[in-house]
Amino acid sequence: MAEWRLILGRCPADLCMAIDEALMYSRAMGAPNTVRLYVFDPTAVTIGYFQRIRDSVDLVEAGRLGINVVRRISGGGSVLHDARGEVTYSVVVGEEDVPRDVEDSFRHLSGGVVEALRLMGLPAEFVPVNDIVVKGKKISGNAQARRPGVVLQHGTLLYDADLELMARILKAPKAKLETHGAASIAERVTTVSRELGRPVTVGEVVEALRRGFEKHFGVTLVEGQLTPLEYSLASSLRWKYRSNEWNYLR
Amino acid sequence: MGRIVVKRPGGKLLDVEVRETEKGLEVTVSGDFFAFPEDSIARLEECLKGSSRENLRERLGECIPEDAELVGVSWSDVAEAILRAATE
Repeated sequence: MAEWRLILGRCPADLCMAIDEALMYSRAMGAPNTVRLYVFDPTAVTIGYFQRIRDSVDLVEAGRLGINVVRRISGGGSVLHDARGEVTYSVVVGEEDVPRDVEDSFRHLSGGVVEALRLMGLPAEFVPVNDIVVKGKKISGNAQARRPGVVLQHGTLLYDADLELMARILKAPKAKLETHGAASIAERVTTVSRELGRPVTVGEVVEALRRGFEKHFGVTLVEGQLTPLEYSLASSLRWKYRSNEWNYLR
Repeated sequence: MGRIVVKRPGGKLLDVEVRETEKGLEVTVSGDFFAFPEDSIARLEECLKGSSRENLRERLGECIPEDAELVGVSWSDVAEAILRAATE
C-alpha cells in the first residue's frame, strides 16, 4: 500500500497558510503526497482569494476580539477557525492523483472527510461545489489552489465550533443565505458534537480524519515532519500572510 | 456605474463592481468562486482597465481568459454581470 506523509500540529494563521503553500512548491519538486491535520491556534479567520475582506468579515469585531484575518491562496468563502472546535486538513497531491475535472476532484479530495464523519456515525455527504453536509447542514467547507502539476485542497471540519462567534464575525451576503434557505450562518451550519449529541474531542476528530483519509485514498499515512527546506520556505512565505498588501488585496 | 451581486442556486457568489475613473472603467470581480489559474481574474481586471461603456462588450471578448476554468460561476456570468454593472 502506498505511503503518504502525515503532518500534525497547531499553528498561527499566517504560518498555517504559509506551510500549505510551501508544501505545494515542495510537492512540485518531488516531495511525497502529504496530508496535514492541524488546528489554528489562536482562533483566526481565513478568507477566499477572490473575496473582498470588508464584505466577508466584521473587521471591527474581529479586531476587538483579537482575531487575525488572513487571505488564503485558494478560492471559496470565509472560515472561522475556532481553536477549540475546528480541525483543518490539507491534502497536497500530484495533478495525476485527482480526476481531471475540477468539480470531480473536489468530490474526490473531500472523500477523506466524508469517510471520517461516517466513521464517527454521521450520514455525511458531499454537496457540490465544495461543501460537506450532515442532514442538510454544512459541517465542512473545502477549497482548492493549483500550481503546475500540483493540487492543494484544504478544508475545515467543525466539531465543536462556536457558531455564535462565527455568526458575529463572518458576514454572509443575503443572496447567499437565501439560496441556501437559511436566515443566518448559525442556521446553515452544524458541528460533529451537535449532531452526535455529546462532547467530541480534538483527538477523536483527528484520529477519525486519519482513518478516513487512509480508507478513502487507500494509502497508509506515515507521520512525518516538514523538511528543513519546507520549513524555510514557509518561514519566508509567512511574511506575505502578515502583510496588508496580501490580506487587503480586495 | 454600479455593483452587481449574483448567486445562482448551487453556484457561488459573484460580486462585480465597475467604477468610472479619469482613465476609463475599472472593474473588480470578487466572490467565493474558484478560478484556475488563480491569476486569471486579476488578468481580466487588468486587461479591462481603461475600457469605456461603448467598447466594454468588445473588450470583454478580448480579455476573458478562455484557457482559465471557473468553478461555481461561468465566464458568461462574469461578462453579463460586468456589462450590467457598467450600465447601472
